[in-house]
Amino acid sequence: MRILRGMLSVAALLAAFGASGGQLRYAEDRAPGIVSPLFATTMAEVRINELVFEGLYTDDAELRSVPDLAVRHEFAADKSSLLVHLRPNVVWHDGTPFSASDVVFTYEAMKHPKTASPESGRVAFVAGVERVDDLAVRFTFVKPEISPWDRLHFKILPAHRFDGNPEVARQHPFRQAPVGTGPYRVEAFQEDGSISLVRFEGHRQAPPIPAVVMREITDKAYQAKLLIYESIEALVRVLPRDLAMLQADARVALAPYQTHSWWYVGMDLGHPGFAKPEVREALSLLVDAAALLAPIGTGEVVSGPFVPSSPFYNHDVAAVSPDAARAAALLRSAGWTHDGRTWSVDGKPVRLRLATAANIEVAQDVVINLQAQLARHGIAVDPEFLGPAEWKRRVWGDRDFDLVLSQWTFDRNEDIYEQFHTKGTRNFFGYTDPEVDGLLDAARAATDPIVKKAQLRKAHAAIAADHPMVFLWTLDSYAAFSRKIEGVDVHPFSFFTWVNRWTMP
Amino acid sequence: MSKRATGIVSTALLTVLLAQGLLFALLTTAPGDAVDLMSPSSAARPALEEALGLQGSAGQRLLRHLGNLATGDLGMSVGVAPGRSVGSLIAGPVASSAALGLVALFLTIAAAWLAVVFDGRRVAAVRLVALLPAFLLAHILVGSTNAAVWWGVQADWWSRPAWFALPDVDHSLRDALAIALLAAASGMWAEASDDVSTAWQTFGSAPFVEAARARRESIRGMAIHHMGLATIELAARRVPWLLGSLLVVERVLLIPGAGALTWKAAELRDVPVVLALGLAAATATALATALASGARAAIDPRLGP
Repeated sequence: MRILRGMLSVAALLAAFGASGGQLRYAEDRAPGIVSPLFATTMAEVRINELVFEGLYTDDAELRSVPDLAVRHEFAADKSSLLVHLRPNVVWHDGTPFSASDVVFTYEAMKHPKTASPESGRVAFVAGVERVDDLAVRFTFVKPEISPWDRLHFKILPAHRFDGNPEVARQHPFRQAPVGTGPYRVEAFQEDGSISLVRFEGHRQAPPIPAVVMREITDKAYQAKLLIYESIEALVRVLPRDLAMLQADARVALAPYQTHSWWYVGMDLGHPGFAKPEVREALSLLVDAAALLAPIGTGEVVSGPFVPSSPFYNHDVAAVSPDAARAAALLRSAGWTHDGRTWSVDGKPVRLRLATAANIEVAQDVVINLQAQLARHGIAVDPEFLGPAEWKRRVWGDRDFDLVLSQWTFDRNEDIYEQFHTKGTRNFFGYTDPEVDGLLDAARAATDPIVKKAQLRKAHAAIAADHPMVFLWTLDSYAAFSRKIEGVDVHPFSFFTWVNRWTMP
Repeated sequence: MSKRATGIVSTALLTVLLAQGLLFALLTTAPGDAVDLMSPSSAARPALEEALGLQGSAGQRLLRHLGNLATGDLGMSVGVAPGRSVGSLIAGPVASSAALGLVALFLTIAAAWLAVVFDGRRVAAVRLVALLPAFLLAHILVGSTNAAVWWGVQADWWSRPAWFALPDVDHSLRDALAIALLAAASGMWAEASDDVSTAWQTFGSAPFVEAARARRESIRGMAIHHMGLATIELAARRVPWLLGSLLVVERVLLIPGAGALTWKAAELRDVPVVLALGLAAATATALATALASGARAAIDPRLGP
């Protein structure tokens, strides 16, 4: 058998993965299909891009924007443009010097309609980028910006690898041979989906750990076990059910991190039943979020579309407490009838389809408990677990659902415009409220961070009062590491932002 | 080419073509496509569809696919590894799975014969375990083996084996486990041994065998003739089951073969990759059936050329 498998270069793979030998192996459920910041659509791709590429700005430990490929900037008094001075002596993994042309090219490639980059929204606020000299670029903005450097974290690409042509096809050879300026360079894409990276010695802060291997381990049930068995050194996200097992192991350290992520039960607001605010509020009152949270982990119940640690979270708005009596009164006022066991509308028992993305961790537990909670109150729920493509088509495209259980994860900007503005591209619930639209528009237009904070807190209150969804919780997140890795600090979104500080004696 | 050989080849070709059409129809009716997964704005959809070769109606896409197929072009991956040629993407996994599958098929047949020859309580007990679904058996074997080995490593009873921990390391032990599961689990072995047993009983009670026995003639030649053909036909029948099991076993044991790739490609709506893998599977099935029909035609004197 080994002879047959030998045809497939198994020996090479064994050599690569037989022993850790100073390499950090981390697990992903699914390997990135493509390593290019232009086409990143999954968190696995975001994480590997963080190792290979760099942006003009990055986050420091306090999550403040600090220069990365930039060194300093000059902000125009009218806040409509930014002159960015670039870091000198930076080279790409192939030895070519980094320059202003690369920044201009990246912007143009992201915006190019034929490139069709799903990341194009990240530069929607930029009207143009002009090369001033080899190490300086000027950004002009669509409208005045408060702190544009917070939005200039997107990764920069090497113009010379694309011959400067910003129309980038997915089949471009770059997908097989990505070149960045980041602390690690891609060494090999393995047949088993794994990706090997080695330290980029030409980096200004070459990381102490010489190699990183992204291992594709499709079965989540194995991941925590493999960490305990020292087959991998890092687990990006620990499943709540594995927490106790990992906590009990002396060789494993847990690293808690705060994500800008919250769970919700969304409603199809185009559904005649959910058009009535009484029904939406009643549904919120029937769901006991704390009881749903308890079996799956620890966290905090939220009252609106931000996490409690966010500056935009309105702490004056209390989370909804379950109240079956008030819910019943609201449903009756909306014309629903109760026969002692089930609720009916126009003589028909209420039966709701609850769609969930099958790949969401612990979603099954939540769905079963939610189904039981609503059934106790006389509302039948039919759960549907959808694969990724079916989820995108049915929920995002066709709005073919009554309820959805899902979560939103935001980057540092926590921009909820796309979810709650009438024109939002992610507003697949059909939520529309002129007051909220006005507040979100004002928040985007604000040039004063205090004004922006005030507008978003008002938006929080207005949205919570409208009950367009049942706001559930923000879940405590943990990464897990072998204790062989020291100095670990993980970024809540990109994970590897501070990998330069990690050591592996 | 004789009329019968022409019939066998035509049936095989038709099987492959029908399988492609059916698979395409299934993939087309499944909700969502590769463009949906890339979360573009609706404005970006036409450009992406063009870039990924997804433009046009389902019929146009099928015809385009069949046309490309006729020229040997399997197309470009749109989900698993966007932009990579399907041929290069599937070559390694298909070869790997073919090797696993062939060994497993041989083992199934051998084990089925052994079960008939050594019928007894022990065989019945093992047969019972092999009725468990492959994924469940794989999880039990992997979990218990890992736990036992790790316990010994921690107690300094032995050093960490090169294959540890299953199924993370690509090692011959993992292949052996996969082959055993493919050959036996999910009722594979039980059904195969039943088939062999039935064929043996049918042969034993056949009038020509009874007549030979009555004449006190040797039946060895007849047995080899009859059971050889039955074994070839049994192997051919097992091929589709084996291909189905590959989907589960490779995924559970993290083996980067055609089965695991099919699963991943279907999830990502990578139609060209699924179609190419379906083509390989249909070809394997059609080939096995054609071989069995050919063998019967060659061996059975009642069937003409």
